[in-house]
Amino acid sequence: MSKSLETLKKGLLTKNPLFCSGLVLSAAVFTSDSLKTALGAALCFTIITAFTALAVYFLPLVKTPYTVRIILYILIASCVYVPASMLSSAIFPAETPKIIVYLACICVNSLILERFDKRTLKKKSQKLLFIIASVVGFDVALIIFSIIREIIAYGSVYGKLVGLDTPLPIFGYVFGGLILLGLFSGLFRYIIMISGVTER
Amino acid sequence: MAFAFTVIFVNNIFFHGIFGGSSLLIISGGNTKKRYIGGFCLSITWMMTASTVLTYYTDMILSVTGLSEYLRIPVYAAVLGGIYILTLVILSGIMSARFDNIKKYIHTAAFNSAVFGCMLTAASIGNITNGIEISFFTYLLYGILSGIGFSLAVCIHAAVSKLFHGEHMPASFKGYPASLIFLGFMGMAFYGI
Repeated sequence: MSKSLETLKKGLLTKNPLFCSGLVLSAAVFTSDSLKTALGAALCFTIITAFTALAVYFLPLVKTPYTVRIILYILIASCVYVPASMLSSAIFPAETPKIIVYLACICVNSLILERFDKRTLKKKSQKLLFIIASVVGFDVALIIFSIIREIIAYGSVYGKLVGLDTPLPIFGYVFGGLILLGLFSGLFRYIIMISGVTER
Repeated sequence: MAFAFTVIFVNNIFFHGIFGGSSLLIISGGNTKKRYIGGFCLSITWMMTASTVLTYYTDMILSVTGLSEYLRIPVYAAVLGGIYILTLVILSGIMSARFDNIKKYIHTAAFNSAVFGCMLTAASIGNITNGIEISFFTYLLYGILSGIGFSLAVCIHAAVSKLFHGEHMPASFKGYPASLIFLGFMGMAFYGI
């Protein structure tokens, strides 16, 4: 298998930020109680992380000390946050104010802090590919999780009732989200294991 | 007393707001030595206290300048970066022999959604621009108590996290998924308060 395909597989599946690595947990759990808020969070997360990754890719930061580099990442991400949150407010005007604190916290998300300095990936292009794959992996995982969570908790999808007789609103709470994400994460890892994508 | 109880237990920064979930799992996930967990708890309490205190002054300055709400975030990020550097300078001076060991935990304590969320929550509860005057002491107390609340969550998870890596645990639920389910049930217990 080529190195690029291996990197893609890692970001999307075996090291999926939400289901396998537990990155960006606070925004994911809080915003996934409905598809609308999850889409707002996914939009912000994609813009902030992808643009920060691109900026880091083009900046000559190889010899910069980690202490300075990490502050630069956060500053770039917080500057990208401004247009990202404005766009989210324009697309989801009712939902964005409810999750605005969590959108701001995406600026210090653990994916930026953990994966931008991945030492096992030597080439800059491989790092960028890994981050892009991780962003896509996170977005897909968050959207799927939010759809299922909204159905279970409120019996609706995107605010429209789907005819579930006995919704369980407990899963709409933060603690319910944690429990459901734990169950999903275990299930996801089980599927990955039996499909042979990774060894036990 | 009621304020302390509310911030530590009822509105616990992790169990109520889920802030800092990734850092909590990294630090108390089973491989970290116990003494580092203590150091991390002290560090994060310091970071939360210092950041909320500076949020008080930052908000006062920003309310005068009339800067947009969106533009506050880059300012808060710069403030956080400043506190991080200050902490490293102080620690390198007083703990130079062990500085290399503790340095990696300082950045985990500094840059996470718990500290950033604490700043934003403090700013929202004491929003001077809304005309609600909240004292400096309240900001200070909120930072300290939020740090204690987060440290409590870290200690609870660290106390049992080794069990989640045991032989009896199904392979797919080992570690992270089991931790999430446990923290979810703990969150439910805190919600009951």
